[in-house]
Amino acid sequence: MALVEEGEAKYQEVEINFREEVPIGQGLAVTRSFSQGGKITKVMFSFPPGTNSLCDARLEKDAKPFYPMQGYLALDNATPVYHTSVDYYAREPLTLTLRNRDAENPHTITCTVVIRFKQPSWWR
Amino acid sequence: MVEIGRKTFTVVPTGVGRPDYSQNVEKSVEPQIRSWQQEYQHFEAINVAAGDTVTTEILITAQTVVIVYDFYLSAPRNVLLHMKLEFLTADGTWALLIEDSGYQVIPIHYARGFPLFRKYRVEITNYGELDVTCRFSAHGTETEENIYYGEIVA
Repeated sequence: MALVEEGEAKYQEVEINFREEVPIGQGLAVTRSFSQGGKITKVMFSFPPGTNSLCDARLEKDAKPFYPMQGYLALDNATPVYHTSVDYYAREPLTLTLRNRDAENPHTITCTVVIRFKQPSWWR
Repeated sequence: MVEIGRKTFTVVPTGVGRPDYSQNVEKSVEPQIRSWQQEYQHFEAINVAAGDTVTTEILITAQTVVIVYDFYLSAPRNVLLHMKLEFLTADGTWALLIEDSGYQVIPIHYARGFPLFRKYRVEITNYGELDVTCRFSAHGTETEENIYYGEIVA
């Protein structure tokens, strides 16, 4: 977590990290949430070399497509970072859905979501 | 950050990718020597009597190509020498490669190199009045015929 100071208010940043190995011909949906509300500032996907656009990834926010808004992202050897400024409510579920359409190899896809939130007075 | 759900489902494979680094992929290729080349040197002492002509055949190992860059003929006396180099053609006849004359030494440098197969011969004529023992040398590289013709042998 990183501390960001803006005026008198103190903000923190937290990374919600998904790192999932998807077996051959399998799909996986992992849901995580964070206790504080804030803003989603960055979404980063990482596709290792070898996926050959056969691994689909999609991030859902509150069970609705968030990134990408339509369909799935499928890349090879790429780590795109998307800058956003979208509200995140406390304990809002973030679901990463992965589909491995590779017939021979399992793949490990990573997705990181950065949430910036106002530091509560009791926060340590 | 807490995990609040996880479910798996089946996907129909639609293609084949490559193993990614998370699978500890380590691939290496064992080097295999498929061609070689080595230095070729040939030295020969040839006795040539005064006013005489001597022809010497020099054999080359079977299935080997010699690419010669330098020929050198020398004598211990200052006599006029004539050297004629001939190579064996594919149909078995002799063909002239080069001929030259000189007093005591005949240096020939063939920058491009000339490929010789099976055998070649050197004809030395001594126009002097002394008997001499000529030293003939050839220098180049040698390799196998199939390598020379670019054939890959497994």
